[in-house]
Amino acid sequence: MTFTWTRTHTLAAGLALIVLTNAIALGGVAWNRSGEPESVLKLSQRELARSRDYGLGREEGGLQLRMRWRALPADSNTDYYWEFQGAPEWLDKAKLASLGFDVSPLPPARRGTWREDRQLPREALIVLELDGPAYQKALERARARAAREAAKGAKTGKTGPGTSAEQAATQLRNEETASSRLFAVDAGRDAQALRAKYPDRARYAIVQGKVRVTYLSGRGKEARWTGHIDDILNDQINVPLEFRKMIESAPGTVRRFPAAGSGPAFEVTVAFGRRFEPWIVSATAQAK
Amino acid sequence: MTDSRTAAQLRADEIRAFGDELARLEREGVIALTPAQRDAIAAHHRGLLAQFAQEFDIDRDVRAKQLSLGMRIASFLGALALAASVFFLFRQFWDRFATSAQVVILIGAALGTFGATLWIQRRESSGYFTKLAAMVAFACFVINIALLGQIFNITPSDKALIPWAAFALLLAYTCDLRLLLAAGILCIIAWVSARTGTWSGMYWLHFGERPENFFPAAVLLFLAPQLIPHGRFTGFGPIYRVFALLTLFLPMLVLANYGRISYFGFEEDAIEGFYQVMGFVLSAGAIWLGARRHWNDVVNTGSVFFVIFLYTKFFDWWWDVMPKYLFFLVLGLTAVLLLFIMRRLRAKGLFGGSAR
Repeated sequence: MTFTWTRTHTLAAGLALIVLTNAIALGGVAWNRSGEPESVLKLSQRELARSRDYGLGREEGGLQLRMRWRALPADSNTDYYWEFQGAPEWLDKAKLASLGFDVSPLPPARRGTWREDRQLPREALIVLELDGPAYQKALERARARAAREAAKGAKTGKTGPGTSAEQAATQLRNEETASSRLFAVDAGRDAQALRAKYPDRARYAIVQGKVRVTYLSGRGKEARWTGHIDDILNDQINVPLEFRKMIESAPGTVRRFPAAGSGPAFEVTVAFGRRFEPWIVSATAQAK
Repeated sequence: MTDSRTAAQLRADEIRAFGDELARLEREGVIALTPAQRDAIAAHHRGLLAQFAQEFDIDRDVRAKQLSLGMRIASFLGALALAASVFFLFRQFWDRFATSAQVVILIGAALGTFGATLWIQRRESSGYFTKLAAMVAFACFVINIALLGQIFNITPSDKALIPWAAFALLLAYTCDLRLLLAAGILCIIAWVSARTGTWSGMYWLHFGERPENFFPAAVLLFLAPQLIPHGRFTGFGPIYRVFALLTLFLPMLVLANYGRISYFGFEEDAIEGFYQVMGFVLSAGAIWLGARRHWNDVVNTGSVFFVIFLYTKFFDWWWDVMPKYLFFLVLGLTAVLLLFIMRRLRAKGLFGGSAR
């Protein structure tokens, strides 16, 4: 007997495909959110930026908040270190090797070539720390820089608008009241080991990310491998309808970032589940 | 008996050509059919054409065929525009619904447009509106999964490409739609290449940065129409083969000029040289195989890439050292030489026969 594919078979196959795919996706979501969350962080407007509203984004329905994570660089003289391409001081050669990168020294003839210079990014678990020692260190650096520039300015008489002293003072004010306090502080491939090292689930969240490696061999400098956090995979968090109105109506929320000195407009409790995927648990407007 | 609209149209074209040639032969006195024979042939052809027209809405004459081409183009553009419209409709009004309503709308849209496609297909013989509906159904399913990912902050995964490919292929084979076959094939290429890339440890989204990741997909696509008979689906076999060759030759062309992004750890010049040679050998092989198997699509794609590899090499060797008039003269003479070679091969019957 020969099998003949009929329209009924197509209908059944199509319906099964749609239903099964949705069931797998939603089942994964349910599993991620089942049980105790892996971590729960209280993030404010300092750590959560609104999605852009220009270009095609103007017509985008819904509200997305993007986690503004930072990485503290080894060089304390780096002016101001925002989110992406963070080359943190802890992402050293040994850490890179533990993430699976080949960090053996390159022969001089091969240095700086595209292929060797750019091993492709690898997936890794990144530990994000909220308002912890890394932020305190960033704050200390900003204070030291402001004091140093103010002293220099006092000596040279250059303290007005546009001077280094004024810029450093603004940077300090931002660091104290507006900048993100969410720092990438570690990476690994074993979630349990990372959690054992960072047991405070209200301060440390484990998330999925990508790490990239680069070979630096500048003239007169020691050639070395350096790592960057290329991306956090789930840094865009969807805001459900029930929280959206509150966040949008909070005073000052119209800005993507909080204004320096004004304080954040809202606070959002974000949970991270078994698959390290985040979701919003609650949101409150901050009193001004 | 024919199974698809394309095959029915081909037969109708052959009937029309036969009628024209028969009339010419009779005028020139080569043949003289009896009225009974002529009537029998005409009646048979009329019956066939009427049946094709009823079942497949074929073009009965040249003018109808020209109009039909316009309708096909309109149908293609309309399908793309409608799919885009659905996408932006979701984006614009998305924020007005609670999460549960969003999920219901997404699944309902995918199910509804799929059901509508099958319903339209049953009632429409031309296929134009079926194509529109199928494209919208595919767009709705892609949006369904993509927006679920956005709503629930699901980590991006190449696994989404599997159901998208399966759905596109289901619609393509059910409705005999080459556009959706191409969409399904692109999903397969992306998924196989991403999986290949992850074997080296890279994050899947970076698979395009190592062109060799595309080669396994090229092999699979080329073998697919050999292993699975496609006789019922006119034009499907060539689409698989052309995509397979594009998936092979485009990455090879990149590597032939930019060896640094290869997986191989050899010197850059050695890698580029290797892929240049492979480009010539495989494109010449494609021409030979296409000619042997009467695959015009393979011959044409192979020829295009052979010329591109050749011209790229000429550019590398002579662009800087030759006066430009001489450089372009060499290119032109090479094209003439290739024409001579092809003509010799055709005269020997290597390119004879019709494409399958």
